[in-house]
Amino acid sequence: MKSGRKSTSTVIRRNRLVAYTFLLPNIIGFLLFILIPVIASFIMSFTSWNGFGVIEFVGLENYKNLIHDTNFRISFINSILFTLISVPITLFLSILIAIALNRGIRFVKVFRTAVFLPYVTATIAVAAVWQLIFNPSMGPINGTLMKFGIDNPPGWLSSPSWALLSVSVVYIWHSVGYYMILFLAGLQNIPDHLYEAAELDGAGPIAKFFNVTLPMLSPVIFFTMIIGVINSFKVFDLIYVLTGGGPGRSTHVLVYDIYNTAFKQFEYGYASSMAYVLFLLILIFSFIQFRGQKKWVNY
Amino acid sequence: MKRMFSLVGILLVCFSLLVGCSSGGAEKGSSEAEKPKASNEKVSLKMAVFPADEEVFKRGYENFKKDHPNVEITFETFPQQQYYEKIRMQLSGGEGYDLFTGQMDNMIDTGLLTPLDKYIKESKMDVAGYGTMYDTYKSDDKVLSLPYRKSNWMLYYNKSLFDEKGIDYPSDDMTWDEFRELAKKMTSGSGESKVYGAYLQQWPQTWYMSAVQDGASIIDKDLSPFKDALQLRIDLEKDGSIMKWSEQVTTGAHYNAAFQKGNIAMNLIGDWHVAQLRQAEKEGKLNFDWDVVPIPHPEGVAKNTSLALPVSIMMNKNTKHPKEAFEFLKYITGKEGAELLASEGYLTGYMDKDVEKAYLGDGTQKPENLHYFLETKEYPEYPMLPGVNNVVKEQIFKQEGELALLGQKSVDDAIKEITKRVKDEWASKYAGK
Repeated sequence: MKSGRKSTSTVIRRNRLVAYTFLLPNIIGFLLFILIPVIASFIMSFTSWNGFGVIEFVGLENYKNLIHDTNFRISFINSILFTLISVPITLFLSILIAIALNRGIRFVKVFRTAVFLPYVTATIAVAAVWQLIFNPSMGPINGTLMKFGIDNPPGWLSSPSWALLSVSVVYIWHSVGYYMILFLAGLQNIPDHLYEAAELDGAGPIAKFFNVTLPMLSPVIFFTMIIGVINSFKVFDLIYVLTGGGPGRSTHVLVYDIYNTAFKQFEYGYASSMAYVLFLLILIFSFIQFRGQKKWVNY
Repeated sequence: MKRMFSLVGILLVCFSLLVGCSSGGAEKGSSEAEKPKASNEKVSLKMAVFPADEEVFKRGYENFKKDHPNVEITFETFPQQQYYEKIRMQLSGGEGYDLFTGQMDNMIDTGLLTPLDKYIKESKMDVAGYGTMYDTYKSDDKVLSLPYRKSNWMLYYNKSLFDEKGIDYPSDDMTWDEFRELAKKMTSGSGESKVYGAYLQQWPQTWYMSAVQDGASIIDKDLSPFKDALQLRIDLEKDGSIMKWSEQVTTGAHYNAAFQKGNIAMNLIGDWHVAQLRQAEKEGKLNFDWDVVPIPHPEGVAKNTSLALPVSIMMNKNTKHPKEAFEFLKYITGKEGAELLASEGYLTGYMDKDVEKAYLGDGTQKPENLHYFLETKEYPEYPMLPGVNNVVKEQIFKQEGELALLGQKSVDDAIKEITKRVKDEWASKYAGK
């Protein structure tokens, strides 16, 4: 007979085996559709390949070329600008809306649905509607502005200086609902006794917000920041349908450039190297945020 | 022990699934390769075609089948915008097409195009009907494709609008300046009653064409001829004779719908618009009369000088049935196919007296002056080199031109930037290859 100790470890080992077996189908999927392509595209980023014929190894040349590539530089800057504009505003607005909805105002469900609706609407539909809203001569925005005596309202999507901002507005409107739901869940997890204790200490609504709500919400804020930054760096569909990267190159962002390079110019190797720079960029942004979280996130 | 068995069982299932998938593909491939080649053996071919051309190709195939009952062709198509992306993906995955249509510059870098010279010679094909195009679009002295349509540019005008205003119809010998004047005269009203003198689709070639008519090319080292071309479009907008660029872009305006609406006096677009307008007429959507004249020309250039962009058929190097594939290619781009296509309103690559007759029809169909298309002197819209369409035209000319049209940049600066970018982004990569 085996000793008691040994048999427990066998059981554990056996249980692990069972667990891995159950995970296997999923792991195979992950390997086939994620890990292997990720590795393949990393290798491809050192090659020059148009999808046909020989794959030519070019070493670091793709990465070197990126430095002088104005398309890449412009889309790199645009991507960062886009993220810096849209993420803070999205988070700010969604916290605000979440708090308002958490107050137990009337018709909460109606409002919650209304705010969430854009998020589940197809991008094409969203783009079509906003194209009308932003129409420089017939749209409601400029119509109103002109009524108030502004003769030369901005061209929004058709103006190189306003286009990126206009796309951000649509993006924010589109994604606020999603983050609002996350914040709402976070708010509902804050126990009431903390507020009661604060009240006993004589805290008003503002003090309660800054000393109870915000600190308790900080893990959710941190999570949404990470997700928000990643998502906004990956923006593509909205840009594709709203502006096609234009006017000029004013809304060219990284993923759009990658798409163009891979599927319009058929330079798969070069496009892969862009994708890896984007990956690195996201990694750096996330790293900074993880570093910074120690200072302000309460667990 | 039981557990071990079940584990092994699950593993086996997983692996057999994987293996099953891959071996299925392999078997399919080998069975195709082993097909014996006898002349009366059934042969199936696969062909990728532009969405707009699928119907007429199917009809062409019905005729072709009468003489070649053993050849079976299936046609596949993809939305125009993703056409090349999709067929290249299919081709590189090995799931190939024997034949495909398209503009050759999008496919030439694949190395998949079969030189057709040998087959043309063997079949004693008459190539005179292709005119100068036959030589113009050779690549390294080899014929890699044969055109089935030319896509020439024409000026369509709304006769009823001219009648209403009592202004003479546009002439067949009009300079761009005269065109601008005429467009200005034809423009009137505002809001719902607005009549635009002209419509230029938001494609770069609608402004750069006048330079090309003069012999310039969009990959020239010196692009200064394009300054006047760009300036002209800006002037037209300044006159109010064409829709504002910003409005055109944000509303996604389209030449076909715009012209059919009836408030556009002159529409500058390709030969395919004939078929679109005929279709609209058949459906009773047009409530005005229309006709065509040659596009305006720069001072000193002969009248009826236009741009053409051949759409052709290419043959896959890896096809298992090159003979049969070429047979169809020859049929549809050659005289017989051309007659059929021409009768459908296609300005075909192959032209002779009979095809011209089929193109003009019996004279009962509009437009009255269709014959202009047959008398055109053509310059290629752009040279058939890799990257010219996707990089030079669709990006550099489009983006920088747009900035000038929006007034963000002067014409000089825009052309300067285009020149620089053509050198950096196109010439450095593609020229010399």
